[in-house]
Amino acid sequence: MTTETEALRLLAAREEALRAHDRTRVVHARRSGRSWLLLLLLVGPGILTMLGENDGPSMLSYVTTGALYGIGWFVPFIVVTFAMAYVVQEATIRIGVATKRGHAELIFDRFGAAWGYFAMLDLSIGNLLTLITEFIAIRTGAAFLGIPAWMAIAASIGVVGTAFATRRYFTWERFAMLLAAANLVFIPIALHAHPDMQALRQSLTFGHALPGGFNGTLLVIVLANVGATVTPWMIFFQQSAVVDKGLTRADLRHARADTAIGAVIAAAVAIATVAIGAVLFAHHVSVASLRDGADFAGALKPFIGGPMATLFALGMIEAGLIAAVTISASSAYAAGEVLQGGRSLNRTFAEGRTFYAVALLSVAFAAAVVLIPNAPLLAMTLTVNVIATVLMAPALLFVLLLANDREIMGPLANGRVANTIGTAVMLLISAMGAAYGTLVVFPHLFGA
Amino acid sequence: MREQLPRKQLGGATKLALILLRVYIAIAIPLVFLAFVRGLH
Repeated sequence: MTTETEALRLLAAREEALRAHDRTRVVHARRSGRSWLLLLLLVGPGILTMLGENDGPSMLSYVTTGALYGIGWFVPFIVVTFAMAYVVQEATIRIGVATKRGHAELIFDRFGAAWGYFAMLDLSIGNLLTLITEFIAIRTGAAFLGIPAWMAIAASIGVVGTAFATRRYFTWERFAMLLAAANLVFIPIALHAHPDMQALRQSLTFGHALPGGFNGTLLVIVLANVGATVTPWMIFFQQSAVVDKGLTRADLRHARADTAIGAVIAAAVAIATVAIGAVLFAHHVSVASLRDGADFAGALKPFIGGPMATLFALGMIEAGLIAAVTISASSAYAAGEVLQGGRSLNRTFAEGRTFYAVALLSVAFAAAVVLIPNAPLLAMTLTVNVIATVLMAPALLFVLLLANDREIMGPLANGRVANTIGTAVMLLISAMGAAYGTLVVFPHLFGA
Repeated sequence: MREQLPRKQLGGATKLALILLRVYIAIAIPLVFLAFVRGLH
């Protein structure tokens, strides 16, 4: 055995030992029948994926939706989009549990190096640009609070760096979940804004007609909301996190519950944010000049009060921050898996140089771009939306192909029902993604 | 160090899906570039 092979074997053994330590706690909880402790130990990847997708641009989409259309047709629509997200993410859990491999690694192994590198590169570029939009959300949220941009960005890098500095999957996950919990801040703001509960109840029965009929603006908002719910990084992140956490077939029920809980919480926060935006709709405030979190916080302030507007700005910062933590992790997993540079948060910096370098450098790069005076941030935001939506088709196709790969999936492969629902979701999301990409480039195509 | 999984033997449907994916990507890349250029202006 060569020295290099021996070194790699020892590194893998250490990573497995740390994972085994976490698994021991799971086994003890299961044997002692402590179901709540078991659930508490097994949740993580699903909740982080769903709440990580309630990121800066997504929260901006939701508040804009509420400000343009009020509480109505979009509320049940959000429920449907999160249901679609659950269908996609549930497949990634099964693939991770059955193969013990991340998404990028599986594409590389099963479909060849070219598709593997394509998957890694398209994800990394998309994630890098998305990270820039997360730091824009952090910067604008901080601006409302009077915090200088450099200070907000430096503090954010510190938070993301601290998460990775744990060099332990379980600790990283709990740290990230603590951050993600702050996403709930939008719910008390919405309650304080006294939303029209009757309109909310009516909306949940699909009792509202299409607001203003079908037109280009409505289509853009519909597509932006879909783009705010299902994106490629979620697929790569959850599958790799399931593997890094060491989940097994025995944990499938809890892993599905983790994803369902995440989807329900994220949908509730999204609906709350639409309800917050609806305050502006009710007061006939034009959203034409509202471009970022600070603008919305300022516009909301006369109606919800200073403290709640401050909380809204803090919520925008949190949305950017949790996404920066999870999205950088998804880039690190994909690069580490394809380039064989460490595929676990249980590795030390020396053992997972590629893994940690991709995570930290992508965050540092995105943060630096946001601080460049006169950087083309609008161009980047538009490009992010296009990349995220047009790249959903390849990402979803690979999920479907892998979930049907019986050689590696065994009994966890997609059945007929899962295939029918999965294919329908893939076609719908892909068509919407492609339409959104086209609309961003040709905004007047549908009279928007 | 874990073993690499064997390459999948592609069936007709998978081959067709991957060909369609190549076509899709060929259209998508200029779209992304256009979005960036449009944003610059």
